[in-house]
Amino acid sequence: MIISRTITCVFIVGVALATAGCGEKEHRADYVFENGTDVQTLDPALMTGQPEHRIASAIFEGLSARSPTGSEILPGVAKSWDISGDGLTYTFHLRDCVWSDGSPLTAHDFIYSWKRALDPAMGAAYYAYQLFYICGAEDFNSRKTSDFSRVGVRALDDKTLQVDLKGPTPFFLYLTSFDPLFPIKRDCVEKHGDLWTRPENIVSNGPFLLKEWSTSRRIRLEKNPLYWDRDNVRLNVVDALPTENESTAFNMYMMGEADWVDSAGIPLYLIDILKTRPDFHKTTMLVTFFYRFNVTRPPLNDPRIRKAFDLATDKQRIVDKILHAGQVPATTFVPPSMPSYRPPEGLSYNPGEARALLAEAGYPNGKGFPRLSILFNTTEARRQIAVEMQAIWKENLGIHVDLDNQEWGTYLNSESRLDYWISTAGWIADYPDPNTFLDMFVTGGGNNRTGWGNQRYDELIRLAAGERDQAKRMDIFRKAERILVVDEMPIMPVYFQVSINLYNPNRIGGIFPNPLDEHPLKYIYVKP
Amino acid sequence: MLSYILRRILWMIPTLWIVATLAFLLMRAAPGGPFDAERKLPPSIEKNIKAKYHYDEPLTKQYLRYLWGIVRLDFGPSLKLQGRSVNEIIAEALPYSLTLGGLALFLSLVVGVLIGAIAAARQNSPLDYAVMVVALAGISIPTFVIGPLLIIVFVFILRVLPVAQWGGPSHLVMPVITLAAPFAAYIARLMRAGMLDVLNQPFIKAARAKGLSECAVIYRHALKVAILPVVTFLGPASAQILTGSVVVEKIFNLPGLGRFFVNSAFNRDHTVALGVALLYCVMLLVFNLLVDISYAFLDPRIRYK
Repeated sequence: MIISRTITCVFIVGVALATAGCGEKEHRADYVFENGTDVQTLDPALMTGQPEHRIASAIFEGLSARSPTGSEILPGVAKSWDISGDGLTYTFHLRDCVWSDGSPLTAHDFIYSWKRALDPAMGAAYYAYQLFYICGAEDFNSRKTSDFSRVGVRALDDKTLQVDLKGPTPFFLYLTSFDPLFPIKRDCVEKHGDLWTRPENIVSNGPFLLKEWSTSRRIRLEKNPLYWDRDNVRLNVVDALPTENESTAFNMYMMGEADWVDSAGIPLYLIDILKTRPDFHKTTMLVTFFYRFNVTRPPLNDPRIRKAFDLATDKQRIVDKILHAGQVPATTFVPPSMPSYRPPEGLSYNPGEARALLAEAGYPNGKGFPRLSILFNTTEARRQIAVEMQAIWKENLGIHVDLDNQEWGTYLNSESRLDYWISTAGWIADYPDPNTFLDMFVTGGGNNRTGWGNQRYDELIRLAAGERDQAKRMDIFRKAERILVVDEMPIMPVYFQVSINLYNPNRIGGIFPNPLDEHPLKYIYVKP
Repeated sequence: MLSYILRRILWMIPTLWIVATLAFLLMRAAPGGPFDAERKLPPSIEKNIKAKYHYDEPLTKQYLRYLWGIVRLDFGPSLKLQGRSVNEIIAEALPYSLTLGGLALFLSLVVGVLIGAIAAARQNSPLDYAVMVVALAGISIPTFVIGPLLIIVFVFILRVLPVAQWGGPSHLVMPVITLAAPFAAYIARLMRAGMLDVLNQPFIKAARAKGLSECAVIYRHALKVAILPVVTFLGPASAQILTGSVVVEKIFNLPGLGRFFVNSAFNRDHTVALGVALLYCVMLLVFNLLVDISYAFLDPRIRYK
């Protein structure tokens, strides 16, 4: 009797749970895209990642904005700007636009937001260094001064903002279109504290408003009726899904439950089949995949050995055999798709020369060469590449390397402590300028992580930062890069990444393949 | 009975303390920290971040701060999901996991007990063999195979169910089946074994001798005792199934708690990892206590003092 009663009881609970969990069916958003993972924050001063940026750039707008083709900087909150002759002073003229609560947006809002992003008490402002190009910003952030008036930013009046830079920064207008420099509404932050980014509290100024933010479920955006350029915003409701599993994201796209998915939602093994479909869109990106050499460990302290590894690597084979999507074998660190830059001539595949160099360094046919290992983090593609590398070096150099697979956190730790021989890495451009790649390898730089340093190289990077003439500046970068990938080679470029997007061009418009793989929601529309 | 329960509850405190301490030490012993990133931070920024989360304090002080947080039931802020507290993350995700897990538990109990009992009653018949082969398959095929198989059949071939996401009842069908399958299979096997054992006992022979129908013998007398191994299994199983499954949540993109168990460990999001570990521990202790209490009701031979 007890059993049957228990079963009845369990049954009632079950049905209650089932009905409690199921809401009514809603209308589908106009545009649904796969955002890869949960956003960690929606506070522009704190964010660093691509998924966060996709949402932030829809609900906020900086002084400048990015075009859908990724090639131009457009006016944003600033309708125009003047740059002084020495390239050090920017004067922004703001348009008459309002926050989502109807109050006017002024130059003082930017000063508040930038001060907040630089405030050491903010703690987790990872990207605050994007503001370090401004005079005095770094001192303020590192508590060398607590007087914000010494930071080079001021409001000449409500609608005019002036900024002083440390050096000519040709990509500064690109930074003003980026998350940490977005304006934030002071009274909203002060009233709600950490909770100011919740849909019920947030005040923003972008083309869309945050309507719902359910962790691991979705973010829903709706068109902002007060946005200054509202007539050109065509989507009304947008959903961003935090699908982490690539097969699930892909299945959802295939069943029409999502309209757009990128490489994070496309299984590697399907790329050959998908390549020929009309909804497959591919373009080269400003992303380089490379190997770091730990130059503090012999024999990798010998540039001849490092070059031998590079010359012996058949990069085309890696791209064709493993990646399938048309990635480009790399002989330089800065991608050739970098606007207005022409990289130097790098080394090309030459196993004969590689063997000669190796012999010259004292290891003919790899004899007596110590056992090294390749450090990589656990992803399928990186593992396969490391395995292929192992085979290629065995064939061409007679050297055996081991594989050292570590989980992400452990891998980062090993790399930054220089506890590795050869390590796999990728670098995504922060802004479309060679500096984002090349300033990594200055002596002692936080992202250098090879132990390598070269005075001449450091000097060239410093020179470039002060050079106003764009053509001369690019020449300096080319010289610096030659040291990096021809003479010294503390890193070995492997390939340039391509971005893959799946979307139906007959249904969705306003997406343009571009090297930053950014597709502002403002310009996207559904075709009738 | 009451003093027994009280004693058990008091014992939970040292158990939880040990688990909390071990989890804390293990988490901190793992290489890499929550603020490591592929892009190295300028030292001033790294310093500010560490100060914000008290990571600049000595470890003992951090440990005491953490214990004091547990006492106040406050697990602190997530180190990765900024502006979210661990309590909030659990409060948001747990209801989804409870719903999904509750339904799966219910389904696996009904199916498992039923087919286990039938198999035992028809021991060594073709039906028995068929049921046990299915059960063995259910245990051995992992959920990450069952899930995609269901998707192929119901989504891509039959086109009757949505592929993923949280939504209406139709969204729950595949995740619940996937989650329930291994549990149902296990319960069926336990049930069958328990039933076979009981059916040979003297009190069953007595019941039969009284002339009761086979149905009455099984449902009124045998089932109550035969279900004991299943109930034992239900303790840890409930804690496991109700706190969410990372595999099922990822395959069907559900907003449950399961993914936090794995992601927080990988991201070194210490506070979240410790919070969910302790939640799991509490659920395990509570369900085991409930199981022990239920023995007294199910089996007249068991008495607690």
